Amino acid sequence: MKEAVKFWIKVKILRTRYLHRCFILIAAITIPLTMALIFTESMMSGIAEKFITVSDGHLQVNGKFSADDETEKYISRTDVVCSGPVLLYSKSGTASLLLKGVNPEYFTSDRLKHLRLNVLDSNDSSSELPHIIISSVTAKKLSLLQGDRVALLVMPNGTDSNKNKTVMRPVLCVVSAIYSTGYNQLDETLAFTDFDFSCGIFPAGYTTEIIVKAKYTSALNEVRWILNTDLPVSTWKSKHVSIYENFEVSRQIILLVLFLVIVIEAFYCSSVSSELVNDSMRQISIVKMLGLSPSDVRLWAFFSVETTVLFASLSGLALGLILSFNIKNILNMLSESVIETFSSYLLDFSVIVPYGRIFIVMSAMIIISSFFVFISLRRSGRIPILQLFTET
Amino acid sequence: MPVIELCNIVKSFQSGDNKRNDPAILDSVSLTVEKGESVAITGKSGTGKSTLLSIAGLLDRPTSGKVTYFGEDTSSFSEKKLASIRNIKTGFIFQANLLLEDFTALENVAFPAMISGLTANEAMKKASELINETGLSDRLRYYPSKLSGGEKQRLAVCRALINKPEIVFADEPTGSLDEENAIRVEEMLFDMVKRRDSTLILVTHNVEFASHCDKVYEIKNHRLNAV
Repeated sequence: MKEAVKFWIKVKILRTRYLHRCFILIAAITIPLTMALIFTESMMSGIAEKFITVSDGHLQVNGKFSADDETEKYISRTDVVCSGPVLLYSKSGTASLLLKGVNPEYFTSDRLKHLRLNVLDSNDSSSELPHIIISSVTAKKLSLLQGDRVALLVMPNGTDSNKNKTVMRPVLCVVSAIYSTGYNQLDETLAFTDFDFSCGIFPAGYTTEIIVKAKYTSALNEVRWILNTDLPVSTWKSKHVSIYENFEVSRQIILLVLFLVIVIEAFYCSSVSSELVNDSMRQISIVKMLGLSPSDVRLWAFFSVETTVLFASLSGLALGLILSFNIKNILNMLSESVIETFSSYLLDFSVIVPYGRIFIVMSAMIIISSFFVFISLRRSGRIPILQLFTET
Repeated sequence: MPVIELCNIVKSFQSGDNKRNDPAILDSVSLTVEKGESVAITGKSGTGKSTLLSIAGLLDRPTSGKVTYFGEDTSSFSEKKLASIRNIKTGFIFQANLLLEDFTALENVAFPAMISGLTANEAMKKASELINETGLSDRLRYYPSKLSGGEKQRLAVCRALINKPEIVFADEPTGSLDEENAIRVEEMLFDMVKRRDSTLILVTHNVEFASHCDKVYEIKNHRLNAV
C-alpha cells in the first residue's frame, strides 16, 4: 500500500467525526458481546463444576469400585457414597431430596469451598440422632436452622425382606450444618448424611464418584473404558443430559444472537462507508488529480472503515475482558443494590475466557463487515476527477 | 521532441437522456508545446479553455483526436498509468485552490510526494523546504480553512511543483484573487516553473497575465488560434 494511502487513512480516521462515532458504537457493541460470551461460558462451567465436585464426580460407577495402579494415574480422587431419595419433613413444609451418605474425608478443602461449609459440628447435643447437612435453600423452605430436628421419610428401594410391600420409614434427624453452593437448582435437591447411616437405609445405594485429573477431563469416555469394570459407569454429562443439553443449546443460541448482532453491525459499517465516500467526493477527485489510482482510492475507503472496525473491536474486546474479570464484583454489587434476582444466581464462579469462540466471533465481525463495506465501496474508484469542475 | 502534442481534438458533451452529442465545444484543435515553453490559452468564458486544459492534462478524454505525451499516444494508457503521469509528469493549479480540507498546509503540499513513493517524513521535509520559499513557513500547521485566498493559492502552486513535474497546467490560477495577491502568485508561478525548467500551460482570460508567456493562443469559434 502506498505511503500516501496509509497517510490518508490515518488522517481520515483521526479527523473524521462519524468514524469516531463508528469506533465508539462498535466498541460499545463488542464489550457486551465479549462479556456475554465469557459470562455464559464461565457460568456454565461453574455450574458443571458444582455438580461434578459436590454431586456426582466426573464419572459414576454404580457400586463399590477401587482404582488399580493402571487407572490411578487418570484419577484424582474416588469416593464411595451411598445415596437414595428421601422426603424431609419439618413443621412448616416438605422437601424431596437426594440424601447422600458420605465419610468425613469426603469433605475435602475443595468441596468445603464449593459448599461454603467451614465447620462440621460433630459434637452436637443431639449426636445420638443421625446428622444431616441441608442447603440454605432447603433450610429456608422448611424454616430450619442448624441444630433443629427434622423427620426423614425414607423411600424403600426394594431390598427389604418383604419386597412386595412399600414401607415408609420415618427417621428423626438433626440438622448438623447448612451449606450453600450458590446454585439453587443443585442446592434444593441435595442433602448429606453419615455414610454408615445411609448404608443402613439404602443398602443398594452404593455409588463410586470419581474425580478425574484435570488433564483428562476432556476425554471422559476414554477414561471410562480404561476403568475396566463390570459395573455400569456413567459420565456427568450422561447423568445430567438435560442440563448438559441446555448448556449446549444456550451456547448455540448465544452464538446465533451474536452473529445476528454482527450482521446488523456490518450493515451499519456499510452505511458508514457509503457516508465516507459521499462526504469525500471532492477529496477523492482531488487525490485522483494528484495521482492516486482508482484502486488506491478503493483501498483507502475500505481500510479507513475496516481499520476503524478492527481497532474498535480490539478496544471493545480489551474492555470486555477487563470487565469480565471483575464480573463477580459487578454482579455482587448489582445483587446488593439494584437487581436482587442476582442474589439467587451462581455468583462464585471462575472466569473462563472462551478464546476460540471469541476469535470466531471477532473474525466473523471483521469478515462480514469487510464484505458489506467492500460491496458498498465499489463505486468509490469510479468517481471522476471532473467532479471537481462540476462542484466548483 | 514536443512535450505535448494535441492533434485534431474534438470534444462534445452528451446531454439529456437521449445520449446524443451536443455540437462540439472544441473542433479540430491542434497544439504543440515544446519543453520549457510557457503557453497561454485565452478566450471568453464558456469557449472551452478549461475543457482543453483537462484534455491536455489527461483529466478527460477527447471525443476524437489524439493527445501525445513525449511522443507516446495516451489513448491506450491504463488508469494506473494515467494516475502515475498525473503524479510525476504533471502538476495542476486551479482557480479554486482545491486543497484537501482535512490536511494541514504542510500535508497538502507533501501529499503528491508521498504518492510518488517518498515516506511521510521525507515528503514533509521536502514540502517544508518548498513552502519556506514562498514565505509561508509560519503557516505549515494551518488547515486551509484558516488561510487566506492568496496563501491557499501559493500552497496550491507548491503542491503542483513538489514532484518537479515536466508540465504545469494552471487554470485561471489568479482568477479569484485581489490584484496584489494575483501579482504575487503570478510572479511566484513563473519563477518556480522557470527554475525547474518545467513547461507551463496557462488558461486565463487576463491578457496581461497571458502576455508573460512565450506563446499565446485564443479559443474562438471552437478553434485554437495563435495570437
